[in-house]
Amino acid sequence: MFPQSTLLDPLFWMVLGAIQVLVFTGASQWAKEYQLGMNWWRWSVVGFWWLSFILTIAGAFTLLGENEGNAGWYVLGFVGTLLVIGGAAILKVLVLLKPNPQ
Amino acid sequence: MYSKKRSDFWKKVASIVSVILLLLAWYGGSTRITDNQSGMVDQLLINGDLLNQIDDRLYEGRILNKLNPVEYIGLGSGIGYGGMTEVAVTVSSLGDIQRIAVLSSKDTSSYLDKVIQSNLMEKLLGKNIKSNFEIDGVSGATVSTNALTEAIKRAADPVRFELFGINRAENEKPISHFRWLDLLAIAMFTMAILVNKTRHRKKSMFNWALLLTSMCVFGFYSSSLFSSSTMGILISGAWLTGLGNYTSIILLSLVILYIIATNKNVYCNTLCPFGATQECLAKLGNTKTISLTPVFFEWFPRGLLLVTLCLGLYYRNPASFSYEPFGIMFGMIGSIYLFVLTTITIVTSLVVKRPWCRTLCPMNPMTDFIRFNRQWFKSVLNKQRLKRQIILTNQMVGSEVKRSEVSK
Repeated sequence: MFPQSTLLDPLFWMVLGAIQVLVFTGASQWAKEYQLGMNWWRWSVVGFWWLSFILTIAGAFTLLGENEGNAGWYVLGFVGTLLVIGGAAILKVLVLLKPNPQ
Repeated sequence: MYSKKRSDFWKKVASIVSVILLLLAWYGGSTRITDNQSGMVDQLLINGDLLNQIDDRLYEGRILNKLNPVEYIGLGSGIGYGGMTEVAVTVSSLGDIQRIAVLSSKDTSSYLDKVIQSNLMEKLLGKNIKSNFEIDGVSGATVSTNALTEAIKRAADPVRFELFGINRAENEKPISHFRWLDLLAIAMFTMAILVNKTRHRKKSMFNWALLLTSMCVFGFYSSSLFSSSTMGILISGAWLTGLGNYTSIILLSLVILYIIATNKNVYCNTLCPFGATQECLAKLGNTKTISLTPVFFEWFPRGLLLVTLCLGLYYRNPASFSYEPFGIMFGMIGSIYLFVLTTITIVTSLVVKRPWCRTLCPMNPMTDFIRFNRQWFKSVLNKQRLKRQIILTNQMVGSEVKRSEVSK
């Protein structure tokens, strides 16, 4: 973002990094509210999915920024769609494996 | 009642108008192709000034006031995915290939582009037709490559015979393009009918098994599910001269015949590979069934299909005018616009049940068209039968009255 600006560019990425904190705390709160019984491997799967999602968006827009329009859209559409489907599958598994309240 | 009658009247008008439009497009296309091809052959001359036609597939190019021809142009055709691919080859008087031009093709443009971009035709320039020339295939577009290769070889045949007296022409029969997948299509369609008729407690499981098999075989393995382009190929009659892949046309014909015979469509819920994909995604997400009541959602896909079929018939290339996401979904072939449409459809399938089937799928307009005309035909037949019965009864009553008068 803002490649010509020495002020706005680092500021933008700092804000984006700060938003990540909100995402993680939000996810933790959400998992508690729905009583998903998150443990180390569930968090690892979710974390890996989120990392892949972020990298896909970053990779696709880097390609778009490098004037590789078709490649950018194909990465976003192909890998992005697979990740969205993967996300839905992970959510389904988490809900299915939800521990029964005693 | 009045509204139903009025709606039926407009449906009858639309049905007749669509048939007329399709016929006009087909007729317009036939005149366009003849004009185009003769114009294109004229432009293939390299050294000659005059073009003389020797027979249907052979032309010779001469220089003014010179006795011997300086070059020959041969025409040939090969069977591609959507029908015939026509090619013209310009050959020098020594037998060297100088120019190759594709006159017409009924294959999907993305496949043909892939073959052309592979420089398949450039590699043949300068080769002598006296000896056999072999052409490497292009992976991912095998049927189109085979069609083009066959067409080039056939275009060289009449020139080879004229120059060297050698005949290598072999007639390929359309039946040679039938494959085991075609038999499987018939078998799976029969099974789909049985599954739809059965009252077995595991009916749903059988249905899922068929859907998943169809998705793997007719979807990911062969990408031979039918689409608006298959409908175009069927009504244009291109399949009569041969097709590179008959599976989709067999499936479509069986579906149409079954709807005509029983008014039931067994394809969408039991065999459609794209439907199966949407069903699988629906199982993953929390999907809701939506019903689109506005008339727009009923008439827009019908109009879209009609325009697509008309363009396909006019340009004699139905495969170039399909708008379905099937090519991208099962073969990663298609334009960026279709890619976007496919992505949207797949993501939407996670929250809405079968979004493609409920919006733009050409299967619904086709089914509606057949069902409406079937009903119309049946009601006309019933009316005629009723009229005949009334006349017969009147005649019987008349003769009874006469007989009683005579007896009095």
